[in-house]
Amino acid sequence: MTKVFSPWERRPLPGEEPRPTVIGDLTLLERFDGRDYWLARVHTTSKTEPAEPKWLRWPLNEDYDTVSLAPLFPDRPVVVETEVPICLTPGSQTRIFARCPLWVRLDLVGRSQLTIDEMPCAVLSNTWFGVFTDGTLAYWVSSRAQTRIEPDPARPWMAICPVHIRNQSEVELKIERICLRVERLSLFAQDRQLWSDETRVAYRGLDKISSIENSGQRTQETSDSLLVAPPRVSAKENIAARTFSSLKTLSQSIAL
Amino acid sequence: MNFKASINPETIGAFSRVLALLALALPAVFWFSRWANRRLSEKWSSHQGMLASKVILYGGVIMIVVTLIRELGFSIGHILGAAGVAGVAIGFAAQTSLSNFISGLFLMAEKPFVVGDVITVGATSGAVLSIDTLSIKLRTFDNKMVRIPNETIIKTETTTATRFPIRRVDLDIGIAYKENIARVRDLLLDVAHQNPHVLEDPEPLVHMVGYGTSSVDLKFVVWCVREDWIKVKNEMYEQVKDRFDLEGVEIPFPHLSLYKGEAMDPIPIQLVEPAPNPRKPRAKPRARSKGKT
Repeated sequence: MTKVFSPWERRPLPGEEPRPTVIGDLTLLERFDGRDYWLARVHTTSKTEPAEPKWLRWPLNEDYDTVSLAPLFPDRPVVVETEVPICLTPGSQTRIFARCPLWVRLDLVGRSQLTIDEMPCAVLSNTWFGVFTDGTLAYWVSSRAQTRIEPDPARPWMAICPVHIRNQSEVELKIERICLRVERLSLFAQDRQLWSDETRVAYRGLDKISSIENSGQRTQETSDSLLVAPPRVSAKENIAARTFSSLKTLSQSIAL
Repeated sequence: MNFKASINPETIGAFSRVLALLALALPAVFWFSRWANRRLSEKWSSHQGMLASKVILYGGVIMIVVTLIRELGFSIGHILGAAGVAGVAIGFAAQTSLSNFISGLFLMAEKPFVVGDVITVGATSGAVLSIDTLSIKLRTFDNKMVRIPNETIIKTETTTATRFPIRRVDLDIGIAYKENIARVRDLLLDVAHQNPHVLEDPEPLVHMVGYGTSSVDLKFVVWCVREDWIKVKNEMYEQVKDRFDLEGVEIPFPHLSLYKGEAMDPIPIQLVEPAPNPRKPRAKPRARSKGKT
């Protein structure tokens, strides 16, 4: 009987027969013919037919005995809507939680480590965060940010990202969409649930630019957690970036 | 002329200086021009790198030529005087070139596009290969090189397709009059949401254009990053057709209804047996005739 591995568990190299691993919408098919490692990936959603797997082959020059699948954040920021619009009066603050689909990095491990590929666990749509002439290409996350959240061990490919927002401006801040710079976040594991470090956003009101700080440390919810993945880009310094937007600001200004 | 008499230490010195200038200064100018092009292209843009490189090259060569003339003992004043007289004649002849040159300076200052942008000038579209002092060079999508004088660019409406990071894809969709427009709108928006290359924000929109001769005409607009524009346009047309086929939504072809006299009563059509072709005689049923004998 084929052993079923949990998504992030290390596993031995596969045999000649394709070995499937399902993580979210992603199905990985692996096989090893004694010399070459073969990998195919298929994304399947409830609305799309599964595509034919396209195999890629890696000739191996060294001996590897283990396959490692490690979670990591997407390579671009993600935009998430709040469950209900949040109005922050000057000087007030709030804390919200967003769920973010993760990527997976596949490594072959032996005396050395060989990174094979990085791929998303869910098919994410593109979105634009900014204005027509300038902005950031981001992924669109359909789940909504909430003020309270429960761990969901049944979906280990989703991480919870706490965001602390403080309105330091002299005007009211209405939040409907948040752009999370997830490539600056670390990933921690606690009780089969993955969490990010806290993003602290200070809104100063100047052209909707905010100061963003990532602690890189465990949060109050994850005091006993293990660091699973460091940030993709160094998050040592604060950055100033546009973080909030009102809904349909771009769409409403479209003229045919 | 006594050749030997003209060879004196002063002449030899001047000749040596000229040779040294040609051997050292000219390669140095070329090297410095190329270096500036490379460094400034990395630091700013290839357009600015190319511009700086040409300023260095032409400026350097002019300085070398002036120095050479002085070293060879000619008077710059006399040469410039002669050049002034000739300049009037050359000026008339070089009017177009001068206009292109000045237009080129305006282009460089205004920067409506840079090297690598995709532009449309008149009926020509292509990627900008270079912006030179007299003309720009385009590589068209069927891989031809087109040279457009700078003056033409200044005078003509020029569209830069790759200036902004996101672009809109407009799709003209016609549906049959019997279809429910609200249902079709929902289907189209769902098709857009299923395509990961279509941006969620700005959100896709469906607008009613009007009542066409054979169809209700809709405009379906979606946004994507500029690199995905062709891909999204192709994919969306294909996916809309597939979805309409799946959901039984009719995309009508142009058709004409004929009525006899009274409005709304169609012309009665009666299907009859096909008439025999007079040129092709009907084959005789040989077997039956054989059987009868």
